[in-house]
Amino acid sequence: MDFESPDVEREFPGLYLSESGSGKRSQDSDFSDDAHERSTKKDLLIGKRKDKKESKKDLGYAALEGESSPEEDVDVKSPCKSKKSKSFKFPTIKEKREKSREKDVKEKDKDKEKEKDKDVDRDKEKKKESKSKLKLKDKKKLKAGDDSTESVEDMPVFGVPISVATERSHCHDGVEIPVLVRDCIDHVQECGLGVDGIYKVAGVKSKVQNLRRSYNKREMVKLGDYDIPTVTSLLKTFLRELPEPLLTTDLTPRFEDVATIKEFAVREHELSSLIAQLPLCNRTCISWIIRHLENVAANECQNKMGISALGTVLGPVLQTTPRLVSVLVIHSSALFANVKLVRYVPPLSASCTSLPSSREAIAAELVKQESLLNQIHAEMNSGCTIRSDQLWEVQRFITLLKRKLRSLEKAQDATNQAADKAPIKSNQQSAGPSTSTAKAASVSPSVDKIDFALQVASEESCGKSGSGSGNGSGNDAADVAVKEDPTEAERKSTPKDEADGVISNEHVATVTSAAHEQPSQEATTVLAPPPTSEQTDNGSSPESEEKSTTLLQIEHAELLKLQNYLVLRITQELEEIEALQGEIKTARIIKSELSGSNSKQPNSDARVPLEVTEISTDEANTESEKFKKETNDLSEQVAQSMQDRMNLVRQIMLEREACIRLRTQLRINQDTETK
Amino acid sequence: MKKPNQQPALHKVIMVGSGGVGKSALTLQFMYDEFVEDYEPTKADSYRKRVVLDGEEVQIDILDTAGQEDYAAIRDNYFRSGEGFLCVFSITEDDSFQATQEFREQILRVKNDENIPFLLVGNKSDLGEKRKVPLSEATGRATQWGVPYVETSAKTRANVDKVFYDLMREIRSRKMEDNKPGNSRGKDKSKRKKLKCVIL
Repeated sequence: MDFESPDVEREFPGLYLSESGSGKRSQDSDFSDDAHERSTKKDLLIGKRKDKKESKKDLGYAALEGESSPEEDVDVKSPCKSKKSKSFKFPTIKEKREKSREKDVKEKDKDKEKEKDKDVDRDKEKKKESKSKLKLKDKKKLKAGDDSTESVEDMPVFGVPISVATERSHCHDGVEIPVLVRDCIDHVQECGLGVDGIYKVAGVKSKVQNLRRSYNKREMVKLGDYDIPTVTSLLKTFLRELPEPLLTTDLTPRFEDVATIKEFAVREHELSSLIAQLPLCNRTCISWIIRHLENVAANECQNKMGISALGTVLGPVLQTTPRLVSVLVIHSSALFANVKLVRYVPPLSASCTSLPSSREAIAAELVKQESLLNQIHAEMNSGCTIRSDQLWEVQRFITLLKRKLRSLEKAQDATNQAADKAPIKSNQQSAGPSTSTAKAASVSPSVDKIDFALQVASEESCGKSGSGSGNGSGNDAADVAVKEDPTEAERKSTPKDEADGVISNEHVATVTSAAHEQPSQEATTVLAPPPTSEQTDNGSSPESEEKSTTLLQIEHAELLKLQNYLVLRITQELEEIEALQGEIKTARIIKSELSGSNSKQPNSDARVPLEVTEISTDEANTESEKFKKETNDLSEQVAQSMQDRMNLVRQIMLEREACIRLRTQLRINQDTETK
Repeated sequence: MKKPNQQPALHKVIMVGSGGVGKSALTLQFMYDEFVEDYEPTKADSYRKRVVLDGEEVQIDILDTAGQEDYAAIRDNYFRSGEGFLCVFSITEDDSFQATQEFREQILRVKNDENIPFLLVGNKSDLGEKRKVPLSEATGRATQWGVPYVETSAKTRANVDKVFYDLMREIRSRKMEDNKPGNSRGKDKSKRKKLKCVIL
């Protein structure tokens, strides 16, 4: 735990002053350091910035250093590296360096002061430091860092702007908040919501510091091993150390103003417009945190942390008033409606032996791994060479995934080709309403193709049941309805060349009726696999064909319904937008009329005394400003509704898809029962 | 030194060369004994294999890089961590042979080491009738660089194992040399510089 003390000291300057003998620091020169550390937060920031610049300067050296990735021990060619190892003869100093970057900077800044120190060790260190120049400092730290291959303390996550922190530790699933925040929220969501006094009770300081360092070094962290207070303290530490409030220095006062508004609806509206002005990474981060706090508050009966208590505890952390935090939590569900707290599944580690098996899972994992790889590249490009082993590892894993994906795709292609041949053959013999055989095999999502798929599907089921009582009018309707849904066509299965148009019509009619009852024929061909396995549905044995056919029919019917619903929904939204735009127009017209009369007045009433004219102009101006404001409000509303629409559509899509799956399953079950 | 013996030694090999000369083909042939006819440009791929090198079990990490310039930006990151290089060209394409010069320079620049384990590899030796790069020219360049020259065929697997094993041997001997305290060239160089910097 030696390592902790400086960090703790940095956060709590003077902590050890009263017990200066207790730490490993001696009283003399180290005290001056403490004094530096007591300097303001601003100073810290400056220090950090400076550090950043330094690391940029490093680039040239980094290239050399890269030769010897820490394990390699052999290739010691880099001058930098060897220098480093030599300069680390002084263990106490080395340790201190590892611990706190900011402190380091300060030490450097105060080199002169230190020179006055009598301490011999100190003296030596000073000389070394002044000699080895700023450039090498960061790297020294890296190398000193207990051989950890991932030591990246010169690119910390704590104490840097949220945008930098987000960039340095992505979530690789597209949610742009720092992994640390995500981990903390995940962990508390999972097993901490009921903990008494959550976010109020402080965690064990040393553990928090350990975690902080681990995150700064991008080490793998298992928060599950830690208690809730420690995790919440970690999150609070992170937020507290942000150089700028999460709600930004500029907007915080405005947020505060808005928080005092009494009318609920007005406040909500104002808040949402303010939130829209936040930079994206701030917005995402605050939305996750507030959403999470909302959940915490919802469990008040267990954890005794209500909205106002959370406000009190987290106001200082977020560098706002408690009231603002409470207000945000109150409005959380409206302000951040589109934010869903999803548990983060990090990219698999390269040592992981069990690869995902489905194509979708592999593709998803590939996206994550590529994102991870890009981050490693970015870090290495900015001078951090320590991660080269990880680079190879991740690259290897990606290669592995790609190979697996490719082999799966090949297998898929093979079955597809087999399936493709059959439909063409059958089409040559059928002469129904949907006869364009060539298109059936083409890639374009033509109506005919889908129609054809339908036909094929119904042919088969009909062949089984033999109840081909057609009605010839449904086809056209189906053509229209099917238009936008090319996916079905991909899943066509091999047909039996038997009946044609009549049957297809009959089937189509059933589909477009959007009724809930099942086409009677399907009752005989049930026991289908779950619908999610669409990719593998193209089996070649007749039995699996039957199953997939049934499945596809059901799914198709459901998808058509969904489509109708969505079309309806879109029209509604469009109407609303039109209405709103109309409002804007009227507002504009009024405004222009006003300004028109405004300009006329002086002309027509040339003889009117000058004063009067001026007054009327003023009036007109104020009014036109009023209208301008109204127009702005309206356009904001439009933007908002557009956003709402997108969110709605997305949600609807997801829910609908789930519904379809469930319904399909249900029907299949029903069918089996009736059978 | 730091590395204990519990894990087999790991040698990191990087494939370089212009696009389409057969870097991936060589790698896949070595790794999985497969020959891929269809050409698909590589961005970057990495493989690991356990092999027995002169009776000793070792691991080889192969990084198959992009030949295209588009990916040159990320190449440096890989080059830095490579321990040995197979610089591949196609004997049927003179441009690819000319390009080896650039690759060699880039590697030397990044590694800052003239003696980095390095093999010049003329691939597609099965297409002898289409040869554009005379054997003498290739060997000439290799001698000039002080590196071995080997002709391979990823299709027939001729010399495929040889290039990888030869390179691993070079890397291994290089590592042993560096491990000997104070007498290797690399060490000396760094030590000298180390001193300098301290004086500065």
